[in-house]
Amino acid sequence: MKPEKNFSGNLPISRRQLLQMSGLGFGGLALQAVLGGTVQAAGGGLGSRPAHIPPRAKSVILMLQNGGPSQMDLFDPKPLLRKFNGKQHSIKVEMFQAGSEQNKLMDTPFRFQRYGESGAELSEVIPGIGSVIDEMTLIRSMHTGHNNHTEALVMLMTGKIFQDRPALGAWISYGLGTENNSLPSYVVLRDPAGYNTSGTLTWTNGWLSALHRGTEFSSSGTPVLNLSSSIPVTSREQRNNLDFLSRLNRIHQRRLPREAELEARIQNYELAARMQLAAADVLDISGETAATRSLYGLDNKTTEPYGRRCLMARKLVEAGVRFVQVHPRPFQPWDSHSKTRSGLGSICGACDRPTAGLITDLKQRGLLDETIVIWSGEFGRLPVSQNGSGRDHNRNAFSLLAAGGGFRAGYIHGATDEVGYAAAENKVSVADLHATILHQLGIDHESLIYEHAGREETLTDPPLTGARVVDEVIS
Amino acid sequence: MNRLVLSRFLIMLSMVLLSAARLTAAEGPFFETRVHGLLKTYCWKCHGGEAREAGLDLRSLPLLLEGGKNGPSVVAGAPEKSLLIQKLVSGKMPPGKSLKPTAAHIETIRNWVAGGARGRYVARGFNEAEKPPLDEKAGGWWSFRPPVQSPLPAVKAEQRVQSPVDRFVLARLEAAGLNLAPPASPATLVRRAYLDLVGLPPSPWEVDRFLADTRPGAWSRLIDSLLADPRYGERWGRHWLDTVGYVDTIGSDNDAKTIKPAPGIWRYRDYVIRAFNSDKPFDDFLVEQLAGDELVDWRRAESFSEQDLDRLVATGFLRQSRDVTYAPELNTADIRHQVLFDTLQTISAGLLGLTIHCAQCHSHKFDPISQVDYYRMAAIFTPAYDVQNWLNSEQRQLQSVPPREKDRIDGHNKQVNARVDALKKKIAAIRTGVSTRLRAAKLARLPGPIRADTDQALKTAKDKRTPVQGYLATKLGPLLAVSSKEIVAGLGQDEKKRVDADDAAIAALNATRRSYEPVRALWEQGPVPKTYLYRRGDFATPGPQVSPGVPLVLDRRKQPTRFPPVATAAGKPSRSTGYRRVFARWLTGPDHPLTARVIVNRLWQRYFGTGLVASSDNFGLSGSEPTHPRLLDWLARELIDGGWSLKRVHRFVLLSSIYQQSTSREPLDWDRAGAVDPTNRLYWRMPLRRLESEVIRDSVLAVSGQLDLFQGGPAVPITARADSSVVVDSTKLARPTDDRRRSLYLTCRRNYHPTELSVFDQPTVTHNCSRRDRSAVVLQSLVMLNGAFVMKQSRLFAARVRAESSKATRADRVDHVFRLALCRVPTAEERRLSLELLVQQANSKSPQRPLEHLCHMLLNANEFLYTP
Repeated sequence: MKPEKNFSGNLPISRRQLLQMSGLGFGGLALQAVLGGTVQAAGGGLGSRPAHIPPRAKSVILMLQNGGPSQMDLFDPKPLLRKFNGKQHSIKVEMFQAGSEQNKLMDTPFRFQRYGESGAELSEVIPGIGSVIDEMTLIRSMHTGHNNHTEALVMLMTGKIFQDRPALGAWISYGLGTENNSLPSYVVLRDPAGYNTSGTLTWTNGWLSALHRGTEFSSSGTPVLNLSSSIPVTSREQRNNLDFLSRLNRIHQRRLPREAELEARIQNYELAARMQLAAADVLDISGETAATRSLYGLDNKTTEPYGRRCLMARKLVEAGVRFVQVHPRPFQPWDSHSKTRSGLGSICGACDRPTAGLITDLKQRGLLDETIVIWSGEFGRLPVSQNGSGRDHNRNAFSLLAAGGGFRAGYIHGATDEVGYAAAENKVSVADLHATILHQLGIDHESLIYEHAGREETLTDPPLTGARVVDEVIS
Repeated sequence: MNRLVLSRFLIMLSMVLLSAARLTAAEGPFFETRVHGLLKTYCWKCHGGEAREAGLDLRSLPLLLEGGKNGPSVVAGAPEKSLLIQKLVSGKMPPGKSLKPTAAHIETIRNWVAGGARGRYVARGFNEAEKPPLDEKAGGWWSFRPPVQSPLPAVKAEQRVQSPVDRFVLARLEAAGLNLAPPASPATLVRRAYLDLVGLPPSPWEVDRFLADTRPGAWSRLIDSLLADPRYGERWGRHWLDTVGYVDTIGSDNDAKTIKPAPGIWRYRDYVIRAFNSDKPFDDFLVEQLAGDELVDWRRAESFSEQDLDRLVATGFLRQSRDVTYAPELNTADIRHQVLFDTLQTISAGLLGLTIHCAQCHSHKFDPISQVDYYRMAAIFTPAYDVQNWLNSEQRQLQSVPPREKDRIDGHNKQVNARVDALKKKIAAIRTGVSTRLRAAKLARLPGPIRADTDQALKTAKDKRTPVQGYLATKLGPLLAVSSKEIVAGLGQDEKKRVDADDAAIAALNATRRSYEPVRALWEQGPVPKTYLYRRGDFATPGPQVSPGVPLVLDRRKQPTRFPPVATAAGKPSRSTGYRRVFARWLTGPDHPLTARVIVNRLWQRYFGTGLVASSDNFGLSGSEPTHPRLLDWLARELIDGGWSLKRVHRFVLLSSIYQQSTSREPLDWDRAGAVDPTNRLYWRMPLRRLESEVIRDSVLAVSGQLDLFQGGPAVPITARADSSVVVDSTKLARPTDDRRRSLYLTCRRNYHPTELSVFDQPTVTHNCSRRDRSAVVLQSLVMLNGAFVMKQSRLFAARVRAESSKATRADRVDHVFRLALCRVPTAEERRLSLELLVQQANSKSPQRPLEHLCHMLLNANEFLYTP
């Protein structure tokens, strides 16, 4: 019999936090069952360990811009592309799909201009982001491991390209739990019209307990699947039913008083009722002022859908949810294989203002300090043209925005080569990013361990990836 | 050791050493610095990554020196004599429209050859016979030695010994000062046995029948009848499908909306169910799944017997890895390799209980599995999964008839097509005649002056008509149109006769059409490729060649496993190498240290929640050690020596007192035992186990009386809805009650399982699943409390109760609800509470609602979710 090795780092955990950690809010015995080894190895470092990093941030909002936003059309101006537009590039770039065989450099169709006091040069299609760029770190030297959407998305979310590992949000939920015992610790807000590429893989719990899986909240209709009854039931009927069920379960429990899992289930039915109210409450945006609604672009048909999700994200972190993942549009909105101008124009039109709105709103409410906001795709795009007006996938370079939670404000980190093909200076890997985010939350990435199949697994796998906290991007 | 391979290897090696020796002075550039990358860019598409045209592979320096059909590609120090340089300079290669290297690039390669064709990596005199580092401790690890039958231990509690299994468990319990829990009640046991063996609760009548059987041996008879029940194969077949990582789809299955079915894969699922039901000896079962195609001369067969077809279908086991190569942009060398590696992982974790995939990149850190072992094992499968001669995941399928029969059927159907076409043409000609006639008659009815003009207007192409013609065409065209109906009515008597006769002939011809269906098999389809050890696991850096072999530490010391030599003649082989058959026979040998232990451990895990070895997919040095090693070995030996009958092993377990004890203990006993053994690894009570996802859904359907027990066939379609729920696709059902079939027949995806299954830990299938999670999360309560499926079944459950107890009292109805849902009558207290609920929920508008509420809550009860 091996001792339970899983622990969530050297985190100081009080009994109260322990209860909150479950995201379920039931008694200690039941908690142990769900988090400990009886139900399944779910983690939770129940033994008290000395602290070593004071946390800078409490929660994370990940604005997941999948499809591969084009760095040289948005964040990373390359004058040489204009000079050599249409000329064959001296380095044969790594192609993914067909269409770039000619290897000819392509200029951006957009103008770049300086924004804010920091004077960052950004594309004309993201004036909103430009307006809050002074709050952000722009990393121009990100790189990743694969040129296919699924692998790269899975890598961005889980650290590796293989599809069985837990997502960042699940790791954070495992390490920190939630501060609201009526809501899940990890919430996903996707477009109700459909999933993004790789769908639920981007919020998977992998081999961690299902407790840590992202829970989908819908921005239209009922917020959580099956949160309300599919056949009308009055609240009195519901109460009668739940009371009866609880008594029946208590009778059953008499024979098995030490089965903590049974207690967890009894409490779950009460939580279900609480969640119905809590979720409805947190997702009700009718009480927001006209000014706030306008900030997120809710007064405009194009920006309203994403704006609504961004506003919901703020309300969720406000309510103590640990990790919120927001998706702009279904499938892969940033995948500009052709028609860069109209494609990026359209997605920026829908997303730019809400993005700025969220940052501004968090700042105004004093929440930005304790909330990390990450804006990122899974990879970047090539400097050469594909199908005449588009760009193919590029794992060698992409740009990322990070705001709040102790990330430096108005700072640009790293650089790509002269045409933006590959990260060249101060390169930042996905593992580095993960290590840095965990660090800001007070978690040492080397100590957040889960034992799985005989291996001590970590999110960042430092021996293999050489992951490090990127000190330069945090203040 | 294959002599031919060895001699080639030595030649290759000597060439490397030779060239290395000649070059020490030259100090030219290294292969790895730039040339490797340039060849990758310009040449690998055909010579290395995804193909080896002309037998040429340009991935490493030794392979360049070895060359292809036309000899070595490089002569060190002599660019003008080097084939590679000649082809590049002349522009013959890369051919056609491929990207051409620049002059500078060619010059770089030329300079490298001129500088002595040096390589930084020189083969380190690798010898295939070289043993991996086997230290004493690792080689002597318990799971690498054959299982040995030990004598049955003596125990104090003789009265509790009902099966030899009891002795092993009691001996350890008694040594720890503990004892077994009291036996569970017969009513508990019958529910436990049904849920475990057939995955459904017993009906009240089945419970009564068992309780009424008071003759000795009632339990044994119940077990026998359940092991003989066809639903047993579904229950235990599903466990095997977990081990395999079975899915009904092709590819990575990542898009919720798009389901890409794997045609005919359901035959494999049905094969597994049949194999469990017929208790196919487990060794045969494995041999068929690993090498069924090598047991049948399917290429030359005239027809397939049922067994022949089964054996091809069985290789579906090897077709479960994610294979996205049907998409052209993903049909690349790295992804093809991943399919091969994933398959090895399923085999090693599933059958060997070892995690060998680390050895893809480096020798295993914990287990004595070397990188050479890994690639030797890969070499067993590369003739079928040949990365340089690949069939994408759509192309890679056989048919349910042999190739010759397929040709005959295709030929026959082609003839039928031709004859049907001819007949259709005849009919069309007759119809055209009638149509022309009718149109002429209609035209004749138009006023004379516009008749010719209208005709002309209609004959003119639409975009070329003058305004007047356009007007005429629009106004009068419809008047002249002849409908299909008019043609039928307008057929002359003779014409009608001819059309009817032709129609009849077509129907008769169509009835003679014959068909076959796809089989997702694995087979060897081309010349046997060479397999290399990949340095750092990267196919771009192939190292020495290896020949097929089994992991050395697991092989028989005295009689090492030999793989047959291969005729290396080019062209399609008429038969398989037989590598996989040899591997399968080795795996199922009577003294194999792992195979039997791994499967009996899985069986134990299903009954007790945790295996005797807790890490059921890792029996290596980093896994858990068995809690009862002698019991594990005893069961393994019984399996092997008892003709690999799994049902026989089931009986040993099911007839034991261990299995039949209660899940509960008196509080004092519980505390005492819990202090010694808090996790109950010694079995001082029966562990409480939550039902698996499929059993929960199937039980709900069984209780509501809606379950359709139809067996086998194509998967029932499911669909992902915008609200993130996944449901049976009721618009596409082949049979109207398909939505009520057992869960294992619903389309099995990698992700996006039906909501009722996914919340209860239906595994995401990346490789395979050795152990189901048993979480207790709030989404489960939400699905049971509010979900449409459970609410609908609750109503049907209530309707069933009303129908089956129409004249009964309320209390009797309550009893029937409990008997259906929980297989027992309620206690007085439970009955009182239930009657109170019925009163509380009285509803004047819909009098059936109170009973529906009660039924609904019984399905939500904790007791319903657990094996008692």
